[in-house]
Amino acid sequence: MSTLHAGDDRDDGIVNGPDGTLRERLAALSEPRTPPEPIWKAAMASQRAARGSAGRFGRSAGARRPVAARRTVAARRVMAAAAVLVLGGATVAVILPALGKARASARFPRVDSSAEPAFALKRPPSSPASAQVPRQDAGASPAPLDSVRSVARKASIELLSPDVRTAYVKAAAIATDALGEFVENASLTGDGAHARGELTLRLRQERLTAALNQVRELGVVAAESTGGVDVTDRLIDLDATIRNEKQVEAEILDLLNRRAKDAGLKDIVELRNTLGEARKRIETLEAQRDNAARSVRFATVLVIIQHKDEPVPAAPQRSMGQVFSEQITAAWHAGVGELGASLGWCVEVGLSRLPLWIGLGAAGLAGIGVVRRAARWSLLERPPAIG
Amino acid sequence: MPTARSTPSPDDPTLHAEPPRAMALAGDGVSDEALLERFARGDADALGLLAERYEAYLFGLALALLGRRGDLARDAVQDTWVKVIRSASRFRGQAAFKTWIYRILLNRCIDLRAQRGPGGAHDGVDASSPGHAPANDHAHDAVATAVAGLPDRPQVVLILCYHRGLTHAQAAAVLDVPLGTLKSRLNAALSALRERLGPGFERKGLA
Repeated sequence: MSTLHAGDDRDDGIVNGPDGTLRERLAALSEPRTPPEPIWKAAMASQRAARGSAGRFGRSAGARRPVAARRTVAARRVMAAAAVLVLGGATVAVILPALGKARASARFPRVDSSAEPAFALKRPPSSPASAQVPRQDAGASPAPLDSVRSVARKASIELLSPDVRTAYVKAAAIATDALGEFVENASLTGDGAHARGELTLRLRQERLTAALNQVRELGVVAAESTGGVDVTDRLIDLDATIRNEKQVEAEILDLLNRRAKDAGLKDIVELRNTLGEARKRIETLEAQRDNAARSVRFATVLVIIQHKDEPVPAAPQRSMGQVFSEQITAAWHAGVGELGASLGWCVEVGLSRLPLWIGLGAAGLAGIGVVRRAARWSLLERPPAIG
Repeated sequence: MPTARSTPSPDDPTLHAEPPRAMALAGDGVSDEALLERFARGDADALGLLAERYEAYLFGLALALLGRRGDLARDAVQDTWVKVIRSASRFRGQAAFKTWIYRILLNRCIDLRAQRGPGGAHDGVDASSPGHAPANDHAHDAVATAVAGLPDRPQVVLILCYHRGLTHAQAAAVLDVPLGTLKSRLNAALSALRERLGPGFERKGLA
């Protein structure tokens, strides 16, 4: 029988023999031993080196965090700031294209043909002379120009249309022969999606606004521009030069008539040549003047027509906010659809392979149980830490 | 982590020195918990007093648990002191200091045994390892070999229960098991030990 020694609660029931040698042998296994060097001092030194502090161990409530912890906190703040920046950038990248689309949709609003367009061509304050310049006969003196400006109008307009050929024909028909309007040049190239039509129309200036509205109705306006060149000074210069040249011509002709009987042949020939050159200059100047006057009477309109796949809708007036909200709504629906598809896939895989998941789970649980049972005897559990 | 130290020579006089003075918790009037609190407030000498009380016992226990490997035992004890140093201010007295420090050491020894793999922590008796009994003590060798051959749990139970620094109740607290459970495990471990030692171990007078 075992003996309980005073002060010792051992009761191991060991039949050790009279002196309890087995007990002594077991105790000798873990006999206290002084290590060669104090280990606790080495631990203190290592902690001092790790903390870098002046001999104070154990942190008080107000102590600073160790350097490594402070660096970790700083790194977390940097990562948080970076995450906010990335999130903000992604949000802007998503919103900006939507805003751009909305802006583009509102860029070329349709114009009521009965209303005055926003960028209507400016008419001269009063231009009876520029609007109704009569046709000049060659050689007749032109009507004196009054003080109003003479401006040659130009416009260009680029259209997109699903039927380029039809639009091309309709554009050419805008020039009305009865009013003296005409198609200065026209070309139609390509076919189908590559079709392209170009026309240069000369239209009476007073009809320019209405004609542009007619052109706009032929397709979707992709680009448009208007302009004018003031040719008043040029016309004045040309008139003055023509008068001067005619004066010279008249003087030479008079000289030739008075000296024809007694002048030598050489002189007569020289006078005839000079007269001819004067006449040539007059003809050239008059042609230039007529051309400038015609450019004032008839505006030049360049129409370019290109193919557009979908038919030209009657685009309703929409604000940028409406377009933006429509795009967000469409994106939301698309995202919800994708989410549903993903969840459906997960459910499909989970249900279709359910016997496999059950078998794997059962095998796993059985394996864990086997390992635990096998280790019950030999496995040494780690008692929980205190404090 | 401290680096491993070489195994001390068997001729090292400190290895066979008398064990240090027994722990006198009541004798010098200052409890372990009071010393720990003093250390937490900055008194490094308090830790020295605690080390004077426990270091030898901890080192001996670590040697037994780690197969007489002096380098591993030193690492385990140093890690224990490091843990005590770091956690001194957080110790709330949920258990006795003795239980706490022994449990830290035990857990560290378990981790080192696990790192070395099955059979690696207990290398059997090595004549050159510290604490080795004199060469003619065959009984000591037999017991040591038999204990080293036991599985982990009964081996630790035996070493801990017969460690001079712990009573059975304190050993049960260190292992975090009821005293009755500890005693039943101890009986099972002793049965397994007797089986290894053989039926003639005690008859032959080797016990």
